[in-house]
Amino acid sequence: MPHWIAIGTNEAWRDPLAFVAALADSARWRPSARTTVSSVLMLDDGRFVAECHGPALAEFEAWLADNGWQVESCRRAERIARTGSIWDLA
Amino acid sequence: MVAMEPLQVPSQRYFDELALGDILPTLVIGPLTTAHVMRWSAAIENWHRIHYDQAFAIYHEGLPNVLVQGSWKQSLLCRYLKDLCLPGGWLWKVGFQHRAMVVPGDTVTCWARVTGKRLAEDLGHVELEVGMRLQSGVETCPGKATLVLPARGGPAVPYPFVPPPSPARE
Repeated sequence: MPHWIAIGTNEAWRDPLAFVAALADSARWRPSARTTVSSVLMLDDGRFVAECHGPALAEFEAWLADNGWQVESCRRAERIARTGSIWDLA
Repeated sequence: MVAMEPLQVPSQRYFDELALGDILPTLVIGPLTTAHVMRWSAAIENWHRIHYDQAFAIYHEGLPNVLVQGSWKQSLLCRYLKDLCLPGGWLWKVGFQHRAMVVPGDTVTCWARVTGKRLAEDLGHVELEVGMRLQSGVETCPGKATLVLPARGGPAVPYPFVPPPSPARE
């Protein structure tokens, strides 16, 4: 399943309450049955990083647009190391 | 000190009270958490990694998160239907499909609608359309069930209820 990492800004989500409201419900981070936004990080410069996997990039791009993101870049991830476990995402 | 609460004895639901199309009271559970999933896996000794290892579930299996077990959904739906019969009825038949994944963060609503009813040997047989909806409205477990309920003034449902023999096949 392809994975993508998007970096961008989202003025509304800098408010912690808006961040929670936008992401707490599973329906908000599952744009469709097969597409999942598995993590969103807020950086100290106000930018955000979102990680998504699903069959089609278009669904992730639509989710970013629907949520008011100004996307700087969106790239496919090939592998990840998470607390010592290495996963090939290619 | 913790005081014990008195056991709640539900009032009997009678065959006569139900009409075609009636929606029965629902059971809402959630939002579910990884603790629910882990406890169920521990209780039934289901150690598939998709139920406790989030990184495996996401990065290896391509799932949205760890998954709520199908057996938990089965158990919950049976509990719900059994509770609709208490104290003197009997959940006779239930069958359903697993149509959508349930993950931590989801809230599920068990529901039932009366689709048929008939008296057989003075016992009320109630056919139901049943399911388990997510908060998004997605149906995860569509199915059917049959309850056996007492009729007002009729005999008690035997315990255990012994189903009548099936009609002989030609």
